[in-house]
Parts: sequence; structure tokens; C-alpha cells
Amino acid sequence: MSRWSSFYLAMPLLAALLPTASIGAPPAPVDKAPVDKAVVMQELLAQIHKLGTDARSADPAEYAKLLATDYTEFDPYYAFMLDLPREEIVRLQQVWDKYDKLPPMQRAAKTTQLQVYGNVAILTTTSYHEGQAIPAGPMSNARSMIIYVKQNGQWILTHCHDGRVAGPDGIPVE
Amino acid sequence: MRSMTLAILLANLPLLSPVLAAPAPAGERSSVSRSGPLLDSLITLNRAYIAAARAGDVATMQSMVTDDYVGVDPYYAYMLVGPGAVAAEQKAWAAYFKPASGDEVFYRKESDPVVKDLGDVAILIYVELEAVKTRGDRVRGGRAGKCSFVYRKTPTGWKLANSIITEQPWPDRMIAGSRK
Repeated sequence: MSRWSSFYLAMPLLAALLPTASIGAPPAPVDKAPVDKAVVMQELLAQIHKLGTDARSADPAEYAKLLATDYTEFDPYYAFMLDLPREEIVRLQQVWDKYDKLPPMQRAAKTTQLQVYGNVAILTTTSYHEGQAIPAGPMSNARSMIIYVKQNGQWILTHCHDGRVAGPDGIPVE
Repeated sequence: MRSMTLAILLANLPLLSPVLAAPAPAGERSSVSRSGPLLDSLITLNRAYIAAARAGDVATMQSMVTDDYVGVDPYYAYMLVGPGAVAAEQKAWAAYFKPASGDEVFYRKESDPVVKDLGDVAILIYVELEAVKTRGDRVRGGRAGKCSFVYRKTPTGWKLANSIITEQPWPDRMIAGSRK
């Protein structure tokens, strides 16, 4: 999960949105059992707490265990999908943690959507952020899709896609 | 006698293999594939969906998504949900491929696609490469975006449940974090 993922930068906002936010349509008929999305959201928020940057720096090995063994990631910094062993991905993520010392970004979650299909949960957020996350340039709109798989009673992160969207003219800002 | 017992045991070993083989711990199996029928199927579906968007065929798009589809606006971070999501997404796609400036995407391809098979859910992941030309047929350049398309298995086949496209950073900005 990238440094600026909505989930830990906007986590308090996510929690505040929870009672009123639309969290998706009712489960489709192919689901084997009805799913209480509010319960799933609470479980995911608990997991998001564990995925904060502090956990990563405190004990990278333990942090890696919160990721699936075949975890994959698209983040704003790397121009390729991270499909390395999870310990290597954590190491790459730590490279960006040094930017923690920079002025904080202002980031606001705009919308949150949860889909639950059996043991797979998809959490999508949009957010607007400004300020300086990295040494140059204002930031703009961002979107995240985080996919969890429930294994042994715990939601494990299996794919994260987080990043800016294209500029207003549709051409990526250079 | 002992050798016969051993021979019988060895002969039946294949029958015992499911019992003897230690089950893989949950999550230990790699779900990521770079080839195979599932990847081919989802790429075909994905191309058909984007082609329908480009052609303005909202009905076809609607038939290819789940009831709770979370759509994408390739321009902005708008999340498109609800009954009007697909129609809104079609307009966004049309503007993306042929914006008001007169530019037009004339070539696109999926770079290094992979599929992540999660059972009833599969994620098609790739980097989209595109070439853009101006109104005067001059090549303007290329652009790229990172794409994750989530498909869900339904009784009528795979349906698109969620999609995201984000800006592809170029190597110079990846390292320096600079924006020209």
C-alpha cells in the first residue's frame, strides 16, 4: 500500500463516513450467504489500522504478513506493477517512507464504495489532495482500489491500486 | 512377505497421494498468471467493453457489468455508481479517446497483462499504452495508464465489477518526484 493511500491518510474520514456512506448495492444472487457490509467495513478498518506506516517501520516482517504471499500493487511511484515477494515490496515501500518528513498533504476522502463477493472485498475510494507529498508540484485527484481476501478469518491485502488520475485534458500531467 | 507388503504399498501410493500431500496453506498458492485461457478471456471481454464505450453502445456495456458496478472516469477521480454509471462512463470514455481538442487515440495495447485469479473474482491488470494524433493527423505522442479491472463470475459469465485507471509515472518523475 503506497504512502499516500487513502486508507491511512483519510482513515478518520472513512470512519466518519461509515454510518451514512453508500457502501454499494445489495449482494448479487450468486452470493452463498448474505453479507453484512457494515461488519465487513469495520473489519477492514481494523485491518487498515494495522497497515499504517508506523507498523511498517516498526516491524517490516510482521507488516509483510498482512499482505498475501502473492500480493500485487500499482502505486503512484513505480511505473510497473509490483509483483515481487511481499518482503521486497515492503522494502520498496519503505523507500518512500522517508518523505514522511515533508510537509503533510491535505487529503480528503470524497467517496467510499465497498463490494463484497464471498471471501473477496473491494474497497474503492476517491480523494482530493493538495500540498506537497514529494518535492515538487501540487497533487490533485486520486483514486484507490484495495482488494482483500479473507483467509483464516482475517482480511489479507491481495491487490492495491492507488494513484493520481489523468489531468483534466485527459493527458497525464508531465 | 515384507517385500510384498512394501510392493503393495508402493503400488497404491498414487491413491494415497491426496492424503499424504500436505495441503497448501491458504494464500500460499500464487494466483497471478501471465498466460492462459482466463487471461485471454478477460482481455477479450475488456477489449469488447472498451470498444462498446468508444462506439457509444451503452446497452452492450450495461450487459457486461455487474448490478453493483463501480465505474471509472478516465479524466477525473469520479466514482461512477448506480443506474447511470455506465452511461456516464461511456461519455467519459468517448471524451478520453477523442477529446474536444481534436486529438484522437489511434492505437492502444495492453502491456504485460496479468490476471489474478481469486476464484469467483478475477483481476485483469496491465499498463495501457496509447498513441495520440492531432486533428491534422500529426502524431502527438503517447500516453499510458495503469489499469486494474475486476471481474466477477456470474451464472451468465464473467462480468465487470470494478475498474480503475491511474496515471502512469515516467521514470524521471518516479525517482525525483518532479513535475515539469
